[in-house]
Amino acid sequence: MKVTPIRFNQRMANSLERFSSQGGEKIANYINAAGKFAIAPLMIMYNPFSKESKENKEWAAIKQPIEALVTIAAQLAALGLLYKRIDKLAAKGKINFKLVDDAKKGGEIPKPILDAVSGNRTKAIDELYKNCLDIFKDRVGTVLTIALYVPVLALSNRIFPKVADFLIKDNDDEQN
Amino acid sequence: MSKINAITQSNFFNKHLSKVINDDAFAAKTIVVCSVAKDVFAYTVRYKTTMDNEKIPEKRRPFVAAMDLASGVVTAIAQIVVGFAIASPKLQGKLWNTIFKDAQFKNIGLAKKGFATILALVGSGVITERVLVPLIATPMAEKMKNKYFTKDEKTGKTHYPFYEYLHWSSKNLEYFETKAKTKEADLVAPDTFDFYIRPQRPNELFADTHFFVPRMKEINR
Repeated sequence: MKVTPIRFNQRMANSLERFSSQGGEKIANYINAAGKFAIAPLMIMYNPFSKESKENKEWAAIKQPIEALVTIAAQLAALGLLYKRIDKLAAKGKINFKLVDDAKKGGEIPKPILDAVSGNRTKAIDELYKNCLDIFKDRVGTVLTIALYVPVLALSNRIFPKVADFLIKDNDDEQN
Repeated sequence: MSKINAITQSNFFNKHLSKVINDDAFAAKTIVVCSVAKDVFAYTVRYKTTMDNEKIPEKRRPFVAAMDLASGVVTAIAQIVVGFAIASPKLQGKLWNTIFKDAQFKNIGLAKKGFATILALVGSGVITERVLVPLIATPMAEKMKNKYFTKDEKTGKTHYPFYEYLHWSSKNLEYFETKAKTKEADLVAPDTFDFYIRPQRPNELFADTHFFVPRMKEINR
């Protein structure tokens, strides 16, 4: 099938919109995991400046994809639960932003929000609340992600030596 | 006011919200800073868990740990520099116009913010952290392993840099307390005694009442 530049361009635009709607924290976690899974091991293994033994590099390299998988699974599960909880609280009206309250009282609405809803003030207030809630979720999500690193890394540290031991035939008797 | 609303109604948080909504470059930079903060924390935890992980063979552990430490240091600096450079509005505008010239968007504001964030993260989190950092960190880790990860000839155990700072147990607090006294203790404390009487200097005779230093046997070893 021949893909015309405009169709490809539009497909990219659709993917970008879908991906962007996930929120900054999830995007950051996806990109981080993808880079760690696919690129980091290759860089450790085929680093032209490294003179470390092949086995040592293999051990360090295998750690990366395992850690990426364990981390992204735990992050997505935890962030999913956290975001659901925040959405529930928001639906009950328990999360209120000063910026939105001021806008409801006739205060200023940020220009990008007004532009997105073609100047409709009621819609703009809803959109502003949604934006504020998404940013709030991102920041709380970052704190949760940091807190999760302790159990997640402990778990991946337990798993990775077993996998590395299974995959690498260690005939090296070097003792340092 | 609930605890959540104490944050969501605060001036500081609302100024932050306003800046993130109005300025795509600031939004992308914030995500880069958050990403770096996570990395610094993660590399510290990683380094600590690696040095404590006895399931990694002793001969492999110093390099794996040195790799974590070197990566943490390099990644923080390099990611901030690259992420901030990519998030600049000038570069964002040029790339946006090149890639999405005739494309239609439901919410162009969200898409633009997402684009800035993704690009800054790919630049800092993938190209810098995964390509540049290992290139610099791997040889750096080798040098660090040889210089700072020293092996104790008596016990055969490796000493990891910052070990004491990452293990705040009572045993290590004791290590800091006794570190200063060890020189003295080595001179006078016999191995066979469980504790000893601290040698008194004339001007300390009545000032110092800490006569006993517990578990001197362990310290001497």
